[in-house]
Amino acid sequence: MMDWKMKEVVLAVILAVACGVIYLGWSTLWIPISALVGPVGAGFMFGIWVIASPIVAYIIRKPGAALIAEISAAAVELVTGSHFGLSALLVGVFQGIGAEIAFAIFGYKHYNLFTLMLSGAFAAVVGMLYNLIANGFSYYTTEVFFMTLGLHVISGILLGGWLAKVVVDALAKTGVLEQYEIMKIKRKRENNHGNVSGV
Amino acid sequence: MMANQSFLASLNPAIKLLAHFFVMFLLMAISDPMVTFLVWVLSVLIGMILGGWRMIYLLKRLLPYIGFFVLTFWMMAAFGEGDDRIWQWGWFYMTVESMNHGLTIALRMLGFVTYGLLFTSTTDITLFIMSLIHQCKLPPKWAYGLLVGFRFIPLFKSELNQMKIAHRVRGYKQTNRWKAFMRYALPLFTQGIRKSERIAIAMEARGFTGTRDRTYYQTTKIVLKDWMYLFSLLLIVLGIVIFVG
Repeated sequence: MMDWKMKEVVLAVILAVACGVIYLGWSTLWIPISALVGPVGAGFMFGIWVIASPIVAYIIRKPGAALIAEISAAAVELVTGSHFGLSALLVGVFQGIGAEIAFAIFGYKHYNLFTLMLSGAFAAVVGMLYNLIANGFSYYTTEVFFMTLGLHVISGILLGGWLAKVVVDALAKTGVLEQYEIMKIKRKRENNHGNVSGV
Repeated sequence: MMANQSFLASLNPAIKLLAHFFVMFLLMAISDPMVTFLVWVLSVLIGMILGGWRMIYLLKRLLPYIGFFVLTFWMMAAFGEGDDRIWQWGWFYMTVESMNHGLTIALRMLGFVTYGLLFTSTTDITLFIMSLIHQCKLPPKWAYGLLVGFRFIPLFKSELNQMKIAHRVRGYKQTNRWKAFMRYALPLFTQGIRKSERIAIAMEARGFTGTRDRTYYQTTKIVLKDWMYLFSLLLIVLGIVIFVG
């Protein structure tokens, strides 16, 4: 991971930290809702917690981006001195690995709505693996468990993958991403087209 | 994350992290509520004796989690698997097994929270990152990148506040949470990206290349007491598991 440019490193970490701050706010929102409908029902809110991976990976498009983003975002909870610090870090590693797999199976070549949504779904599935090991989800009845998994996957696809694309596309329109991989590739594509018509 | 003056604060952060992760992994493997309870008591004792926690501090930090504890227990107990029924009402179906599971998981969560607090309340963030460089061989490029990012946490918070006030001054009233999210998230991200670019250029302009070949103002190393803490913690936890379990 030494072929990253310094500005890509800083961008990845800072965007992940911004997501981490959103995670913190989301957690305070989650507690009253989960008290109302139960932690299983509150699973529909899960997706936001995996949004850092698709956002950063979509912009920087390098191997490892999704994993690093999720771990850095989870570290925000550690740094702010939250009680969930250490467990959040472990969850972040699992979710990051899940998101990374989605981009890896396409050889880090395809970054579109489908792969972003897939990363949200995989992050939910691998994150559930952590819940099985650590949070005793295997003690739930089969129906409750699969209902939770289903909710997490759907939420990961929508609030993780889809929302990430909406946010990054809106950011791209403001012009701040001109010097990063996402816009470089876009320009390359448009230039090819322009050359043809220019000739 | 700020260090206090306790014994735990003087330990090597990487070793301390490793030790607490080990205990957490052991907690994951324990399925007996009594053993889990004792491992949790151990963390409170460490915090009081070695971590410099006062009773007031402990209560203030852990009391908000009582609700969470009850909720976790309730979820497991009411929706868990088992045959030995105690109580049933509507779709809630409580059994001896699910009660036991609920207690284990709720205590395990409490253990995670307390061991996490042991780490975060006694560790300085800069020393932690330095220890990641020296002991865990994290490339300086990433380590300093992380430090930059963490510096942004308070900045993001104050910027969000500023934005909210600026909107209010101009007569904006928040009606819809979703619209408010996009309204605030977008400028927050844009500012973050602009600043990150400037910071990266400033770092490179000052000769930061991110190679390992550099000097450090602060270095961390592992000494005997770090190993002693790691091994005695593990021995005590394993002792509890073997003799009580």
